[in-house]
Amino acid sequence: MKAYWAQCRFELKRSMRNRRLIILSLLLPLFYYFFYVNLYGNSSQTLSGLPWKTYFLMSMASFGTIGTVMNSLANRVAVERTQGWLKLLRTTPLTSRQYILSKIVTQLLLAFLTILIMFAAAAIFTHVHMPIRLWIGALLGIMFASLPFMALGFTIGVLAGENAASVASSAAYILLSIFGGLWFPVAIMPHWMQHLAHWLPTFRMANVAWRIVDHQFPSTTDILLLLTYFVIFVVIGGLAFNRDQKNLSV
Amino acid sequence: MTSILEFQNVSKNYGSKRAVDNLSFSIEKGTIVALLGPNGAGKTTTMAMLLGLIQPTDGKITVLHGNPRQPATRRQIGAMLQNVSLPDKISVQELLQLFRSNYPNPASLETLLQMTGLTAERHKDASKLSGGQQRRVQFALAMAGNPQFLVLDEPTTGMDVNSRRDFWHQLRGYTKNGERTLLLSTHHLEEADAIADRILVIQHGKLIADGSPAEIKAKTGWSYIRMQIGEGFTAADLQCFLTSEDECSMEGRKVQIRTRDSDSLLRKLLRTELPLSQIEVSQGKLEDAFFAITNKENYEEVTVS
Repeated sequence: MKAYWAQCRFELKRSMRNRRLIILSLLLPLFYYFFYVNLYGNSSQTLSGLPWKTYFLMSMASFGTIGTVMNSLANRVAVERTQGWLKLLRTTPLTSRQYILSKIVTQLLLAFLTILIMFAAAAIFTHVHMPIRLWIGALLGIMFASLPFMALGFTIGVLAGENAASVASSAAYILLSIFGGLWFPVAIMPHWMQHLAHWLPTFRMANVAWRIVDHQFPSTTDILLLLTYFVIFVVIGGLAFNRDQKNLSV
Repeated sequence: MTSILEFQNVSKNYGSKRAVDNLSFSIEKGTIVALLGPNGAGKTTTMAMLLGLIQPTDGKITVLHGNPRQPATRRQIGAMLQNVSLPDKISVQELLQLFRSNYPNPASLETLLQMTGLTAERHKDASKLSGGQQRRVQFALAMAGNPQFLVLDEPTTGMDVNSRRDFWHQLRGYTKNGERTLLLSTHHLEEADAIADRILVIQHGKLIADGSPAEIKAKTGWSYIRMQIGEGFTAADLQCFLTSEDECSMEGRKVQIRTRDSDSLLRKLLRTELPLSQIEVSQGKLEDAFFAITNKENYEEVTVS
């Protein structure tokens, strides 16, 4: 237990000190948020029954969260796996499970901070007002929905080398976000794109938040699809990780 | 004597290539063992197997009466590997604390910093240190758990002469009371000669020599006579005393003769009027024996690992 918390603290310290990465992954969603909210009016527009600024805040909070949890994880796992650090850790009593769990805890905390900063900025500067339970519900909802993206980041880190992992996770990040309706509302997409969006974890992630701030529980479809993606990525990532660790190049 | 490590008919194949071939040996508690062999002989594979990093294709490895894949066994082992980059954004002290937290009876932080001479660097980013300093950090990490069994793969790579001397000095302190065991590989043969109680030479994945440094050196049967020869004389003047097997080389005024029978050759040489001085007889360096055993002529083949 002591070893496990030490590993978590260690991962957290390293992540928090990587300020450049945190700022960069927050900058884009914050910029988009303020740009579009100002462009399309701060007042009366609604989308799926929600004020535009509230709707788009949930989109951008989801977008920002994926950016902080997925990209950094893919990169870090790839580096540690290919540059011997993981090999050295494996000579210690630390188990693979503790290693992976400490990464998940760290990424969840990063997700929490990302969402908190986005929500605070929106509440202060664009006057988004909601009952506190909706804020908390949306925050927890987005954190829960970030799990499949962590698993995807981990899988990319296991399958790709250091450079390829950065490229692959950035590409997945941008494409999934656009096609999942985080940048433009699904409602204004052509029909075939709407159909595609409904199958993507990015849409389901934001939909959890959209529904919560609209006083609804997340739909069964949202939860089932997110869990399915999570399980798929965990299985692929887990198998690839075990294979990689069995055939360590020494 | 308890055995700390036991290899029983261990083999490892990579595809069709056999990296380790039916290797059997055991290591007694309290010994310092050096694993030597030419590049690609299977040293790193052997170490990776005993650390549980890779599985042997065949055979059985017992470490501290247990399985190296079990955390219970790993709690008693410290390891230093090759090609490890330390993580960034973390200080030397934080890294050591992380590793210490993995073990039930860790060495104290101050002890670790002092013994590796890293006290002044304790708050620096570990990944930004020089190669030799990073190697010392890794040594400190290996020592963090106060291990019973220390496994070091090429520990002095990247260290300068002074660091290497300090390093070997620290290692001697580590095993002094005979309670702890050390297995290391190095390409500095003179260092292996100085520190090891026992030397294992492997080639093509097989154990080809096993013994104390003196036994290994005697194994070749060669002795070496080194001396100074006065002005106006050359190695050719000694040629008549040598057998066809003996070899004589000269550099400046220094002459070295390799022979099977140093006693009779020495007697002959001393009876002459030749101006010979500073005569020295030795079993040769470990290096000479190593080349003879492995049939390697080219030093590069041995040093680059």
